[in-house]
Amino acid sequence: MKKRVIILVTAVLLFGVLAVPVGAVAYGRGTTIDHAGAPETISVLYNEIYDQYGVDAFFVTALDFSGEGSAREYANVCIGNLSSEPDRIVFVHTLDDNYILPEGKCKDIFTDDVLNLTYYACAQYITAEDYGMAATAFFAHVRMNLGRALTPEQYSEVSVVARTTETETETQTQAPELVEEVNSDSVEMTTAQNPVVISPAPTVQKQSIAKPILICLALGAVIALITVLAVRGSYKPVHRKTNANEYLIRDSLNITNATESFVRKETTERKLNNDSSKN
Amino acid sequence: MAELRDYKCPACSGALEFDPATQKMQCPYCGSSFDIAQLQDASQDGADWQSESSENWGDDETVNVFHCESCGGEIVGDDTTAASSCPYCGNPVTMTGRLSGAFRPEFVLPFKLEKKAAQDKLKVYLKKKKFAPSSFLRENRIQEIRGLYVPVWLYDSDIHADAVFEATRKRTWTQGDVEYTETSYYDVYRSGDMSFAGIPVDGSTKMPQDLLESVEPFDSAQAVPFQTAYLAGYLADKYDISMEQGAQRANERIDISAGDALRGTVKGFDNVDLRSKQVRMLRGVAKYVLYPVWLLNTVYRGETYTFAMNGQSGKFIGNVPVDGGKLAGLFGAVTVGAGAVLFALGKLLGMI
Repeated sequence: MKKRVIILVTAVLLFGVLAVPVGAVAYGRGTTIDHAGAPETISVLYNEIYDQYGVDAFFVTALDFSGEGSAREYANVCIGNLSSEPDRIVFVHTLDDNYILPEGKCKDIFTDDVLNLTYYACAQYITAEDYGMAATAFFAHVRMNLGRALTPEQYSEVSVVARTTETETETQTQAPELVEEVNSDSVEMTTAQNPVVISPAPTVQKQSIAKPILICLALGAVIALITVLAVRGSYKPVHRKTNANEYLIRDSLNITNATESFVRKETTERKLNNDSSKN
Repeated sequence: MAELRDYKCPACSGALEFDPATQKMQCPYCGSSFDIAQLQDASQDGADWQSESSENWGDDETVNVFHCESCGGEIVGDDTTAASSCPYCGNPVTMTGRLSGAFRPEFVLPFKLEKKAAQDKLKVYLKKKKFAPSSFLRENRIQEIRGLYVPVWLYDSDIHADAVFEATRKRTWTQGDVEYTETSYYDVYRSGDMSFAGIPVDGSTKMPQDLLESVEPFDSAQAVPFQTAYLAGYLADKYDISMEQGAQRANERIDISAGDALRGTVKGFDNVDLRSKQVRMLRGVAKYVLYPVWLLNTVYRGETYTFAMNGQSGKFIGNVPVDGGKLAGLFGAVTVGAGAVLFALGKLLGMI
């Protein structure tokens, strides 16, 4: 009994060690993606942006582009297979620079001025390396500008968390200086110059992980069943011999007749997949 | 009429036993050893014991009672018991009447491995069975191992076989973006003669046929002319499956092997399927032989488990019960472990 408990606990721990950390890098919509060691913060506000305006928003922190040529390429690597929305806005923060990448309808809404203001809303937290607050401010600002552009009459009704409001106030009052600061810091405010194809993404992070886990467990159960049956079979090795091959006297076989006659021929065709056409 | 024979040590009158290591008769009391041929001559004056009574214990079961020469104790055997030992003094005896006439084996394959070897094999065998019930593994049954000479029919046979196979040959080529596969079908005929030697068939209904076949092969070339002295210290049965009955089983195995042998001569094809086969026996000879097997019968939760070891080669086999709880644990562990590995692989390959 004790052994069984140990086996089960070991198996569960093994699964936890292998599966959970891998699952943690599966990002959902509106996630703060952290590749720089900063704490990860996820706010309900992120999902509200998509729910209200149909825009995906991401906040990505990273040490560098990890070999990618640009912030856009890096962003596509990070979240490219997560969001199929043509309308998205991505904040990429590296140790060297900051980038805000609007796509789709966000390109029209987030003009250079708006981008500068949006950056300023986050700048103080980035300077303080408080990336959680920076992300919160970014999303609040995105939401505010989307609300203003898409439903102007309702803009006044959009409730913004108090912290965001404070940030926004500071943004408004200090905007001119901030533009200079942004320029002096060589912050690149990128607009979507090149269209990017974004693959479909799961809607909720928990669902995206739970389903594969269940599928993997089901496959694991099949493997386990085969293993158990094999083990069980090995415990019943007693069986009748099917032949007497080992009692056939060597070289006693004397073939007296050997003929082979052709009967028919069949030809089948299979169209090959042209790999170049895929590309 | 059954007769009892035991072999007494000429030096101390102790009961002699056959020693597999030296292939001689050994006295466990004074340590003397004797060649079997010498002993046969010396023991001619040994007392012959007759079956004293025959009583029916059941409708189909006949019991024979013998009196031990050494202590006078009763030795009980059934109709097929040919060698046994006294349950009171351990004196090994042979019912020579059971091994005479048509029941006298032509050859005997003497034990090469001692009881200790069987005990060690059993320990090693069970040690590997991690999923057997702990209570089954804990209980010490190794003292119950006994050596048994199993009556076996050995069949030598010359046969003629005809077989028809359907064989296919494939050729594949590509033209443009189309791959063509041409399959050519052939009828292949093969006829031939072949010979089999020493196919063993269990001659005792007490010994499960599948168990004996599972500890094959026996090297019948090492068989020696039968002498009752080889049975001393072991159990032995006479056959109760006739040569004709046993031949059916031998023919089943020959039939399949004949097809395999002819199929082996069909070469140059990608696939060969047997369509029909006919086997005809040209000559058949059967020999009655005793084969050495170490046996252990044990009962666990009402079910009998029998282990057997080839007394010549040491091949050990036997079914072992499986602990359902341990299997459930294995199932859970493999499910979770394999699931985790699959999940990790899926993530690494970008499939999840």
